[in-house]
Amino acid sequence: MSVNAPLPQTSGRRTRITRITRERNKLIAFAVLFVVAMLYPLVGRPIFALFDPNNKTLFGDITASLNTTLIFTLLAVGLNIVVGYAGLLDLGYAAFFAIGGYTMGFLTSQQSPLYDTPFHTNFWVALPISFLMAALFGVLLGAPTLGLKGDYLAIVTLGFGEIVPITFNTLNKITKGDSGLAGLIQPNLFGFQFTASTVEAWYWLAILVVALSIFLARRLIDSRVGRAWMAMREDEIAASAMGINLVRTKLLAFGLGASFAGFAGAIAANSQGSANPSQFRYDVSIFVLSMVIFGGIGNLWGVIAGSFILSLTDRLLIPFFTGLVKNYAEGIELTTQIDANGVRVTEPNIWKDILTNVGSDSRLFIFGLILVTMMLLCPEGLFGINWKKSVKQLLKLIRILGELVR
Amino acid sequence: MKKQFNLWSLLVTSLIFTSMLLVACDSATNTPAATTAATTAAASAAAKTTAASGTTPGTVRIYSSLPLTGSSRQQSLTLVNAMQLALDDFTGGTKKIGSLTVDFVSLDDATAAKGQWDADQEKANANKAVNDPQTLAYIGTFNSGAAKVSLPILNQAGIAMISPANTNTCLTIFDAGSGCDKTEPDVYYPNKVRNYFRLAARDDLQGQALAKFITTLNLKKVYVIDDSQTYGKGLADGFSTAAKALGLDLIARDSIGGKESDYKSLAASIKAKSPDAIFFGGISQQQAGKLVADIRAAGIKAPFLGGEGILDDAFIKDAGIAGEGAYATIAGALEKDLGPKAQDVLKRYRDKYGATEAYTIFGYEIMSVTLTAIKNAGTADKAAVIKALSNVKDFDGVLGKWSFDANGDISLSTFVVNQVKDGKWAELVGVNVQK
Repeated sequence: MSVNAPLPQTSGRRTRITRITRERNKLIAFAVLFVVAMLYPLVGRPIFALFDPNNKTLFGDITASLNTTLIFTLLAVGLNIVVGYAGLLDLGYAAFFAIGGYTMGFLTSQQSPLYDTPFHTNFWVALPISFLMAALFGVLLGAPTLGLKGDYLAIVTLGFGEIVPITFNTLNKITKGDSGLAGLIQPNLFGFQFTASTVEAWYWLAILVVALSIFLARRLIDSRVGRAWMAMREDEIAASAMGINLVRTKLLAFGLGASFAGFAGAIAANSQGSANPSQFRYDVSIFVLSMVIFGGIGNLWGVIAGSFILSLTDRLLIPFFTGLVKNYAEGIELTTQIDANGVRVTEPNIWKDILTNVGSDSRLFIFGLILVTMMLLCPEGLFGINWKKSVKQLLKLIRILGELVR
Repeated sequence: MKKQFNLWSLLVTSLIFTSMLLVACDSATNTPAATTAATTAAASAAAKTTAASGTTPGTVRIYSSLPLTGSSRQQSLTLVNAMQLALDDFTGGTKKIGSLTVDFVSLDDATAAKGQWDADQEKANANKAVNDPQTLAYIGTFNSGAAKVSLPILNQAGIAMISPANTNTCLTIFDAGSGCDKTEPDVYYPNKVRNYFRLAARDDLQGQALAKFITTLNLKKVYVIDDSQTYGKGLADGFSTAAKALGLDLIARDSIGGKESDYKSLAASIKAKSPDAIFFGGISQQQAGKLVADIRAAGIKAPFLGGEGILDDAFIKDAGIAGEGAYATIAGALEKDLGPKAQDVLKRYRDKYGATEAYTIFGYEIMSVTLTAIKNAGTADKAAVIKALSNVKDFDGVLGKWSFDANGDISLSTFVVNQVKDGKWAELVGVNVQK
């Protein structure tokens, strides 16, 4: 047997083994990642304290940002089911986030109309109920859209995304309108009381829920339903001809996708201690959709990375960068001279002005710029980057900019 | 090949991450933690901030949390600038009160993705103040809705919270006429000890002032509109209660959502009722300008009145010529009646930062009163600062002589009515109300 013998003869058995090994390796990697994530608060606090000897808020800040990010991860994973797997463009995903949040609000708030009734309950009971309510509304709101595809579906879901928060805003008597339901009773676990300040506790809870959702999403892709979704995404008629029940499959996608948002909404509302309509506005839908597109539609790990990068860029990286620029600008000394008439004249320094503006006014601009550049460079998302093409694109972009300047 | 690209992108992602964790020291602008960054810019910036804030145990920190990104940016910026000016004035530029060094950190409670205040960011800001052992005071918030998120957090930690702009009545007292829930305001004070103070007058008082002003114009029938937000509804409720007591005739109550493409049908229904005056509870960002433009286009001449929410340039810009003659009230005294102290502050502010706004003077006053409380407390003790704030009596500041009452509200109950004249807000007359 020569070394150059063609592989295919033996590959049948070999690929199976490698596939099993690969799956096992992935599982191990996932488990390791999970353990690292769970250990982070224990290790993170003393480590960050070293960098931040004066006002020990670094760990709290980062963990708070991570908590928000994990909520967005949950949303992105859920939306990825609807948009990525089933191919249903949903622009009103925040509606289910709102339903989860308000279900939690109604069940646990001291200002809720259900307070002092047997329906008022604690966080742990309300969490699965929020999950179920969001799933239910996912199916209910999905039902009228069954006949729609593409842009038309997008418009209808956009409508739902607007209607739900506005409804919560307008039902003053029950929801307290714009100021929202305050005083949500926060969970107590074996005597440990969660408050809005116990960032680690919320972090652990969020990590558990996110891990569970990733696991679920992973299992869903490989299941019968997952394959039905993908078949439906590629060609509805062909899928239907193969015996896939389109109604059931679509509703399942809406329902399951929404249930993730229900979890996210419930945790977000309770950890803030309030549910108000401005938390669930249309821009949440778009922000989450950007994460899904940014990471690569349908790519689970890409979407997770997308949610981390976009959310942390908005909350940590840009404020840090602008803060740095601002500090630098403040450090520029202006030269002052006394002119012939004895009047003090301060020379204008254009760099100081520009840097001060960048430091204090440019947050929205930078965020937009990052999104636009990323989408120009890798239209297929983070994990679909073709580096040669991206570099070419970048050079082209620079050349166009150069010509514009000239 | 495809697999290799995936590996690359993984590598890049993890790189971005590591760099994020490395540099992600802080969302605030100036903290000593910047020393972790490796660039020279960071190093010099860090050197500067370390010099400013110091590492001595005598450092105390004042946080402010205002929406510096998005639609309320202008008002927030003037507040922060005025606070900075007040800090320099109070300490003579040394940032020292006795043996304590004051470090002022301005936080943003808005996010770029949202373009306005964000409940989650506000929560994170409040937690930052809670986790920082050197925090003595938390200045904020701008929006009453945001206060409802951070107030319980700060209350549990026993940190003083002072707001320049919250007007929602239910934050400090229970008032059925303003639509408070039966659990309010106690639900915001889980610790049962009051730690909240504010310079802005409550909506119910502002409503009284507007109702009183309408009676002085000899108008009778009022059409009430709100913008379906906390502030707008609270103000409209407060106004309605006060107007009824003064014998005004409230002929209708409507809400706008702030996103409508036009208000022609609303204008038609207003015209059908032929009111003497139109009251609007709300803010310019909810399309108050468009509303008044459509009302005038329908040929309605009745005066248009609102609270400080429409007292800005955005209103005039949106309304155009239709905005002429509109009225808006704000707590405080006429600028010509302000003492020489305030005039001096406004002049120096203009020299340093440019045009002043309605909130400039509040920004200056809030920092002055906070620093006075820290000085009176004499120690870096949170509870002592809260006590000193609640003991503020006859404070002689730029707003005049005033005190905090038992609920943390300012004792002043004077308002200024402004009117749009030739495309600019101009002060018209002062109104006093009974507290």
